[in-house]
Amino acid sequence: MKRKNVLALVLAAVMAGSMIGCSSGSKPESGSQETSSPESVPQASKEAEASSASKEDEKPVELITAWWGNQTRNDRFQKMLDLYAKEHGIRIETQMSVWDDYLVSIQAAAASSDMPDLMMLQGSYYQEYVDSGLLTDLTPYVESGALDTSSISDSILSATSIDGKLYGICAGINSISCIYNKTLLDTNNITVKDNMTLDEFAALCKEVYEKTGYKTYFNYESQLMEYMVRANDVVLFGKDKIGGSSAKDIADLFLLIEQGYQEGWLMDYSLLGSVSSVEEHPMVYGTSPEMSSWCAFYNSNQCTALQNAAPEGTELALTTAPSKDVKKSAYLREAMSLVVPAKTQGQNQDAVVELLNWWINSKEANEIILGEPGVPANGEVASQITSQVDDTQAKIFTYVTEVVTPVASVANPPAGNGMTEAENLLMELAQYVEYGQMTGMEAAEKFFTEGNEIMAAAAKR
Amino acid sequence: MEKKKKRKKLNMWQKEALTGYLFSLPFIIGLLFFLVVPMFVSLYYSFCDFNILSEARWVGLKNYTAIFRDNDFYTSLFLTLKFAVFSVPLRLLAALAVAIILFRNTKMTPIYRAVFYFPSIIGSSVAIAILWKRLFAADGLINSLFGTTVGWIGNPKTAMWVIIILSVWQFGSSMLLFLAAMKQIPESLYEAARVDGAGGFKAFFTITIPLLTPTIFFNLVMQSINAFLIFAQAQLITNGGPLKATRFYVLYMYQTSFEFSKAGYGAALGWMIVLVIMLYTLFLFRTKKYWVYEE
Repeated sequence: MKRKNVLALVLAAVMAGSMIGCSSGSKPESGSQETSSPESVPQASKEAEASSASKEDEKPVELITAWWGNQTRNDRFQKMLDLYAKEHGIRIETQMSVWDDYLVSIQAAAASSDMPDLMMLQGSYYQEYVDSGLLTDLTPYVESGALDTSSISDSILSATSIDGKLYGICAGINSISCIYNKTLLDTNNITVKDNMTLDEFAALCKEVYEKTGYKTYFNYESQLMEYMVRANDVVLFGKDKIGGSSAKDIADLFLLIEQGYQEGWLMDYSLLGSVSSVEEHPMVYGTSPEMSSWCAFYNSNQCTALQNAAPEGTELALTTAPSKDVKKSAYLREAMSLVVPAKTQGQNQDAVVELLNWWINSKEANEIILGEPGVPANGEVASQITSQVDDTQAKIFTYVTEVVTPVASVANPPAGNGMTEAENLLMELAQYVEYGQMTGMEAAEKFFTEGNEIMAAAAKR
Repeated sequence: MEKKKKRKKLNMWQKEALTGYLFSLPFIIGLLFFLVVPMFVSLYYSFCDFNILSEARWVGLKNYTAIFRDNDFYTSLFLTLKFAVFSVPLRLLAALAVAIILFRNTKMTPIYRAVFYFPSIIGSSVAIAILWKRLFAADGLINSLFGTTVGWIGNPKTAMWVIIILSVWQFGSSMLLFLAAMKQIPESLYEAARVDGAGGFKAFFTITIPLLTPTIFFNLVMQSINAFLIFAQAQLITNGGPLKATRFYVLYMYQTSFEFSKAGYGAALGWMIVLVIMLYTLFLFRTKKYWVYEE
């Protein structure tokens, strides 16, 4: 009997131990993940785990970093952080994800008070986090000199500030752009010019389809629409409403998609599954002309990942996304910035800010990153690494600094709480237009009515 | 001295009971912390406004009244029901058919049984879902086998069938249950039937099927509950699209709670599906006596 009870207790302990082990993912493996993340990027978020490393004071400093991105970014960040960890004798743990799953995983982390020490976040999502007291105000660190922002332009800093307080530093300057298959267009003697209007773009798509059979696939519909309606002097996602005074003000992209469907140069969306990562976009993933697009709409920095995923011999190039008035639409955005979540206990904030400072300002960090998330915010560092970047990166830098900057205007202010839901609605409606089941104006009307309801309801919460 | 001794020693039955409790303690702890407590917390959240990042705010029945006015609630419930109504019978049919074929005991039968059971082990994994997405792509294997270029996943009319086929493919576990039940049917019944002149078919429909109805019922209940909770495959293969054709209930819950930060509403949705499943199961149990043979 005694033996049975002892056995029972031992088994209970083993089971309890394995349950704890299972719930927190892999056994706390100190140090950064050496194994590269799995090939299929959509899986990365499911397998990237936070080891609930205890933050005891006796242990060496251990920082957790998190970001979203693609394979190229993962590799470069990992390399850079390994370097820093070795030089400073601390441990840095990394969590990688894809954009679609990133915000959800951060929310879950916030709910379980398990947030990373340094993470990536987009300026447009700051509001919710600041309201919940989840981000550290970095202004004191700037004033004390621990965080050097002297080489970063004020307009970039203002994009990551709320109410005058700095909450994050831009990790890369870029701009929404039309990335296209240069090889395809060159071999067919089709020229592309910058600053295209909507009509010029539509004509170009038609020309490409007639000469090559490649169609056009619209993605990033929400960012694209936001970009386009700036030409109508409209801020698409306000604090508690959709911008514009009527559906006409926000119909630009829907009408363009409808035109594509009518004229036949829009891709047959029923042939494709969901595009959950850059590598799955028809421009680089397609195996035949009907399954391929000649262009893609992404932030300028994503051209690197696209080029890496493109088939051998295909060269990509960038141009401005179309709009009625590119001078009004174009802007430099911080599509990602680094923030320091405010944790309630045991966080070594000085160490985190030190890492952040090194990340943004040091030449060695940026020589490894080589501007994958975008042109470095620190202007000096940007010019220092220009000579070292590869062809694609150089193309992106040139695009941002020489094509967009001359026509850029101030970016939109951060949106209100309902933005994610309203964005989702926009993407759904865009899909209906893409499948030819709604006209452009119908979609615009619906978005204007329901989008406003969503934004207003969310602002009250 | 004797009195002390008596109190200290547990009698034999009590000792057995104590051992039993100790052995089941891990499971009970797990059940409490990972199931019961979260259930009650979610019930609390369903009466609150909760955006995960900050504290929950009590709002009473607001979420529940909002559910009844929500179109997306009805459409996602309908889609989930449609999925359950198609996938479960097909799955059981496939399981039954293959079980009958594999009923004989030849040398190869164990291998075939293992092969057919294998999909149900790996089927609900992420890897298989991604494989399925590739398989049914417009330039994927299925299309090249038939020489077509149908966009199975991108077409709103066929997208759900891709997921239904994935679910039916995992019939192995039901098949094994049917096989086990079929082996329990006494051979004497079949002998008696043969003496009376009943052929193979007649025997099948008058002996095998009626005696299998308890197993069919069990499978029906269990598989239906699982079908109502379809999520992972739908998210990975179609992500609710195209045009919301596969936006199943739990997927809608996930989107509401985590993408729109309306976790209170999501919790209320969760409790609604519990209610729906309970009603459905109640219906099945009440109508059990009309078609299930009970000894």
